[in-house]
Amino acid sequence: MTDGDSLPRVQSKKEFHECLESWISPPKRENDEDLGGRLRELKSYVLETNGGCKKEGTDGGMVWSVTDTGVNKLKILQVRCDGVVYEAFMDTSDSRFYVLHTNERSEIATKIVDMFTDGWSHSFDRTWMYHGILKAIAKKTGNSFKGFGARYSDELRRKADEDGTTSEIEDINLTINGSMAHKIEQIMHNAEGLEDTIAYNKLRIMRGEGSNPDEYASDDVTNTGYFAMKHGKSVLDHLDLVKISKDVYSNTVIGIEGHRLGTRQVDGRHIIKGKTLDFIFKKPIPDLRLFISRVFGSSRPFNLWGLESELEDGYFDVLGIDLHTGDSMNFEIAKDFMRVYLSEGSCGNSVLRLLTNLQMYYGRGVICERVDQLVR
Amino acid sequence: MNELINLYANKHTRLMNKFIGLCAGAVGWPSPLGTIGYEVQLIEGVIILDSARRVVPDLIACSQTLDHAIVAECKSGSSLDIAQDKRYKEVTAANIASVVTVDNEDHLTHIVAYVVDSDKYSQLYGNTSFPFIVFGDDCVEGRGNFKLEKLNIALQKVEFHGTRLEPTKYYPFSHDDATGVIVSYAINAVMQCIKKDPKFKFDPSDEDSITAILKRTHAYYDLISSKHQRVLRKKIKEMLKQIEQANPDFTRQITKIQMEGHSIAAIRKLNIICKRIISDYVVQQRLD
Repeated sequence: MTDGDSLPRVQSKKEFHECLESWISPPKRENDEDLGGRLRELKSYVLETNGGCKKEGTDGGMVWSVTDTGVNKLKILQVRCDGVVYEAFMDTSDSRFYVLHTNERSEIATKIVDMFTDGWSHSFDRTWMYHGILKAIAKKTGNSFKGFGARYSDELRRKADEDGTTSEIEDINLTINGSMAHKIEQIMHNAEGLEDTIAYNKLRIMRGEGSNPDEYASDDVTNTGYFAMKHGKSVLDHLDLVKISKDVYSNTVIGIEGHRLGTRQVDGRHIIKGKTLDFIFKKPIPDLRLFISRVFGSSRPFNLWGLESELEDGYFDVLGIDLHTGDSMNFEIAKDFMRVYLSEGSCGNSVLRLLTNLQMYYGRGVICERVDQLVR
Repeated sequence: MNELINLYANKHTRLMNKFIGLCAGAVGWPSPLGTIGYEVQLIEGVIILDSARRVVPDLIACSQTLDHAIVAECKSGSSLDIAQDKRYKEVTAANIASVVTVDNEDHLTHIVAYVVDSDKYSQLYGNTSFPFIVFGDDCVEGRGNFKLEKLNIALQKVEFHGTRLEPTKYYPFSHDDATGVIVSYAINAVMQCIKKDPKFKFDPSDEDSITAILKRTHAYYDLISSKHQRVLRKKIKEMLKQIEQANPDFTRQITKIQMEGHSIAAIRKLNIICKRIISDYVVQQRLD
C-alpha cells in the first residue's frame, strides 16, 4: 500500500518481482520519520476469501476497488480511507486464499486489513496459523527456524472482581530471535507450568541458503497470516515461503471441512457424513459460564455469536454462529473438552480462528487432534 | 450471561445421538463401533422387503472392513411394536444392500438391534429375539448375540470413563421433540439467514423461508421422511408466527441490524431478546 504513490501497473512477473525488490531497500521518504511506526518493509498477508472479492465496495468508512495488472490474476487493490489512498498488489491466483503484498508501514497496513476482515458485509477473514501450523511451516524443506514470538494472556480464565478490577493478571509477550532461540524454546517447552501455556504467535523463518542476502529471505510469520520480510533480499524466497505456508494452511482448512455434518451422494444414494472436531483442555476450565460468555461475546477475535444452555451440571451446549460467514457452528462444552459440530457450507477457517485464539487466551494446552492430524 | 435455558431433546432423539456417537465418535464418549469401522449411513432409510412390505429403521450403520450392517431401532418407550419386530425378521442382507453403500454387497451380513436405555431394557428384552445395545449409568453394552464375534467383543461393557456426557448435536431434534427444544435451533437459523443474506425477510408464512431455516439447522433434514418433514415444517411455522406476534422487539431488532449493519451492541441485544424468547418457551413447556 502506498500513500500518495500509485503502484506500477506491472505487465510481467519480472516487473512485479522487480517492484517487490525495490521495496526491500527503499529510499527513505521524507515524511517517514514524522509518521513514526516501524520501517517500511516487504510484507504479505494471506487472507481467506469466502466467495471471492467484488470489484468495488465500501465498508466501515473505507472505499475500495480492484483493478487488473498485465499479469494474469495479479490485481491492484486500492483503498481510500480518511482521505488517503493506499494501494497493494493482490494475488488472486488461489481463488480461496488471496495474498496482499505491500510496503506500507505495518500499522497502516494492519489497520486496512483489519477493516477488510472485521466488517459485517464483506467476505474476507484472516488466516489463523495456530502453533501447530507455524511449526509445520518451519519444518518444510528449505525453511529453517530462526526465532519465535510467544503470546499468552489469561483473558478466558481471568474473572473480574466485584469492584470491576482484576487481580493477578497473567500476560506474556516475548520475542526471541537468533542463536539462543532454540535453546530458550526448549527450556520453555520443558518448564513446569509453561509447557501448556505459551503458544507461538510468530516464528522467524529463513528460506534459502548461505550468508549472501541475495540468496535468502528471513520473515516473521505470524499466527494471523502476516509475513514481514526482516532480513535477506530474495523476493523469490519470500514468495515461496508465503506460497508454501498458504498451501499448508489451505490443506488443513479443506481437511477440516471434510468433517462437516451433512449428506453425501454415493452411487445416487444420499448417506450421512461428518464428525465432531474435539478440543481437549489439558487444564480444566475453572468457570464455564465466564469462558462461554467471552468466547461467544460476538466480538473479536472469536467472532462467535451463541445461544447457550446448561444441559446438566457442568455440561453446556451452545448453538453458535460464525459472524464472519453466518454459518452454524454448534458446541458442547464441559470443563475438560469441547465438541464442535460444523454445518454443511461452514468454513474450516472458523475452526482455526477458534483454535488459534484459544491457544493465545487459554493456553497451548488446548489441543484438537483431528486438526493436528491434518497439518502437513 | 443471561438466565440459562436447560433442556435435552426427548429420549428417542437422545438415543439416536448416543448411537451415532458410538460410530462417529466424540470426545468424552466411547466409540466401540467406530473403532471396528461402523459409520452411520442412513437415518429413517426405507427398506423394501421381499414381500414388498416396508420397514423404516431409525439408523443403519455399515462397516466396510467387516462387510456388516447394524439395523438399529431406538426404543424409548416401555413396549415394542410387535408387527414391526416381525417385519425386521424378514429383512435380508440383499434388502439392506439395495439402500446402503458397501464395497462387497455379496458378502454383506447384518443384524437388527434395539437401542435402549437400561431402565427400559428389562421391560423389552423378553419380547424379541434381536439383541440390544443398552446405555446404562456407567457403561454401554451389547446384550444378546450379535452373531459376529468382533461386534460381540466390541460391545462388551464399554465404560464411560469419568463422563457420560452424550453428544446431542448429530441429530439435533426430531418431529416428536417439544417446541421448547426446537425453538433455539429455529431462532439460531433465523440469525444465520440474516447474516447470510442482507435482504432476508423474516416471514413465517413464507414456505421457502421455513425450508431454508430447517436446512440450516438440521444437518440431516433431507434424509428425514417426507411425513416427518411435514410435521417439522408445521411446527416451525407456527412457532415462528407466534414469536413474530408476541415479540415485536425481535423483528424490530432484526430490521435494525439489516438496515444499519454490523454493530456488536445490536447483535448482543438481539442475543438477549432471543434468549428471553427461548426461556419463555422452556418455562411454558415445563408448565405444560
